[in-house]
Amino acid sequence: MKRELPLFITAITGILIILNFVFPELTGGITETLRDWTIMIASFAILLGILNLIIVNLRKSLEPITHLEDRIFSIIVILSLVLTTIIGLIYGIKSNIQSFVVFKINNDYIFPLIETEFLKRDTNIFTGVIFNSVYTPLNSATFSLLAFFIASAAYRAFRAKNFEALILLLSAAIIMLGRVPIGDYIFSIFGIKISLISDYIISVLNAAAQRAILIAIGIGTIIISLKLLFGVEKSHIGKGD
Amino acid sequence: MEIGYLLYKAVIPFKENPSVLVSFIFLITISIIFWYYINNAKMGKIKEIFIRRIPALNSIDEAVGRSTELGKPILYIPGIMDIDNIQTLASLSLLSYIAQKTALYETELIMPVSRSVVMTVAQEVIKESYLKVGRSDLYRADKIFYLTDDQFGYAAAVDGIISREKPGAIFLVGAFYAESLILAETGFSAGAIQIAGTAMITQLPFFIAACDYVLIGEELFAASAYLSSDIIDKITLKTQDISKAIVMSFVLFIAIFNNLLVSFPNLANLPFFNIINLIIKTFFTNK
Amino acid sequence: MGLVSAIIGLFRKITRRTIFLIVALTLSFSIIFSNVAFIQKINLYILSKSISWTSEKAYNYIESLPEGSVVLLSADYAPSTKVENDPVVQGFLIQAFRKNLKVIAISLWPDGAVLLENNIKAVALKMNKKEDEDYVIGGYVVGGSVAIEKMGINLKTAIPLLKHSNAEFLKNIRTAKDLKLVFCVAAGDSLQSYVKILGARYGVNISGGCTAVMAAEMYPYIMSNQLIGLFAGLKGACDYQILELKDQIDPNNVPESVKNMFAQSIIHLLIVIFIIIANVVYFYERYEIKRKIKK
Repeated sequence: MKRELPLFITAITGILIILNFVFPELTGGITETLRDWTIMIASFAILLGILNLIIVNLRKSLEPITHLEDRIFSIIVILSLVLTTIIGLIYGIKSNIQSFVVFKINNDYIFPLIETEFLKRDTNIFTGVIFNSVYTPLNSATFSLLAFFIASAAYRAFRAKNFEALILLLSAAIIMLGRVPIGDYIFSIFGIKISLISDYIISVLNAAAQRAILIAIGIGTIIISLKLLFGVEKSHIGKGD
Repeated sequence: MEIGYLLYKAVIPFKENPSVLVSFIFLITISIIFWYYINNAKMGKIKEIFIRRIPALNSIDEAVGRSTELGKPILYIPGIMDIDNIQTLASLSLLSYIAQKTALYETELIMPVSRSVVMTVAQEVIKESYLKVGRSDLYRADKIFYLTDDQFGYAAAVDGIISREKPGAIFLVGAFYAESLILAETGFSAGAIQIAGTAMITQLPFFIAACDYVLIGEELFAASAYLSSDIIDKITLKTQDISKAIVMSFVLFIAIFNNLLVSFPNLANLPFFNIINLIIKTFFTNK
Repeated sequence: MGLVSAIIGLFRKITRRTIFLIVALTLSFSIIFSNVAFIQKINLYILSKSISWTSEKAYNYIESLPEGSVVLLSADYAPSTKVENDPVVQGFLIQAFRKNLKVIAISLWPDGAVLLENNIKAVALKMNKKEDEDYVIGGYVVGGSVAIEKMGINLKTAIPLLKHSNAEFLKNIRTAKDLKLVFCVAAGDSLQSYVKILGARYGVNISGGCTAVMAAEMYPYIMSNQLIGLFAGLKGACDYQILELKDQIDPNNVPESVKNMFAQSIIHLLIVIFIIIANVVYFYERYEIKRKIKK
């Protein structure tokens, strides 16, 4: 029973959702309830995560075998979690409305500039300090690591070992230069508009290959879904034969 | 009255958007083929099918073995999407195979996740796998832990784990976004064998550049069937291929047909061409 | 020959760390130099001559919408991709408000809601638009693709904050089918979800913007008209600013996205140079091996 019940629930809800795609008018009511449940479960799941995070890090910071370095990291995690939650609950993510009233704009400014001006005047500690001054830069910093990693990965991977690799390398170079103004600037000496070539590669050659992979992935997705609906795939509930 | 009303309601969507009917018919056809093959396999009519070699999957044993030799842990990353994503599910079924191997070799398996539901499911999957090979004593729930839902927060934390623990093998299987290369490059610099698998087309190039083996797109979905010893699991690949053949023949037919019509406009006057053209226009064209 | 092998020897010494250092230095300098008036002018000139056809298509479609049409703006990104996505959202808001379109603004990402609110309030203040009259903020919508599915059946249950709004234009909106356009600016898979669910199933017009890395994946949808147009990456952001602001742009003080394009240009060029160096080293090594075998 422990195995059959989840499979049964999966099958019934799955079929209902598929039918909803085809007959939205007939099944609208019940599937909407199901979707509400999904959203509710997903929202509650965050509590589960937080609980696990606290337990794992508390244990790490208390256990004698942990390195000092790890212990400090764990304590920072717990502290920042608690601090952000408390401040967030008090101030919320709504921006401070009052700051908009006193906020005046120099009409000549173009928008991205205004925004920085505007952020400086945000006095809400949650959006002003935690979101704009801590979270945003940290997030952007991790993302910007990509620039370094792409450079080193490209240096290593793009070698013309054979004809296919040569084509890959050439098209990569054309697209990289075609998407930025400097490419057109350099190639204008030879009378070539490289942005047009890059547009052709992306919208014709690339789109054709992408389409093939997309269709194959789509079919693969359908098959996995059918495996779930028919109860062939059981590993997600613990495969017990 | 009720039945008439229901029928009316059922027909409306097709009138509004006839291409939905095609999707529906296609889905039913695949389901029937799927059911037919499974039934045949269950009755023992099909004993074995040929599956082409997928190098990434054959290398799993090598990766786990090398980690064991070096005495280093194995890191498994199931992507950053929730359990409702098919790629995450596919990843978890691959996990069950890998967990069995690590249990057999007595190698440590570390799994940081970014979704709490995935964490609970993964704990269950790994526990069952350890139980299956009779090594449930090795299972430790705190090796499968939640980090954060935030994409780059997760990437930063996993990077930290990679550079501290120096795993011997890293599996990056599931749905990834921009963090793919951040993880894979850090793994590369730590000198781990890396096996990646994703159906996120835009992230595939990054994995191919930085990992040793990559499951490309549908290979990820075929992985669990490929590794399974069960014929019922394997037979699903046959349905996948037949469905692909159906779609391919439609694409080919419509492409040839449309090109014929463009090259020889007079053909449109023939009734046969006219009807087919009408069908394509109604059912296979986006508004 | 001595010089060549000396240069190759130098190239061989390039490690990951060297690459990181060169990238960091180049990026820092190019960000500083992007403020030079001469560079700004050239960048602006070249960019305005090479606007992507996908950007133009998306822009023209919004331009063709009748006044008073209700559109949904979904800003699904986090601060990490702010540089690429924010200008697109701002461009869309300026265009929509100029055309007197009515905007429902939501975000499927919690972080996106804060960024969206910042953007919409700044633009509305400048263009004299009022909340609950010209636009409604739907805030963070929970559920991702499940929420998108719900929009097809009932927009107001999918976006709960709409129930509290007394905006006039919301009265005739029941489901997503009543929207003239869904404009999604995405850093994740939500643009695709909109295409697959609202576009394919309910026939809603979808357009939007995305990060550069996602762009390649979106082209099949544009070619099949399932996606009207696309502002892809920083290039798309520049396209939008140039298309919308046209003559208003001061060549000595161009929008931030056009300035950032200089840094991107240089770094792309640098990566191409790295690739060339890598290949020179590779071919030289092959040549040396062949020579040794002959000996």
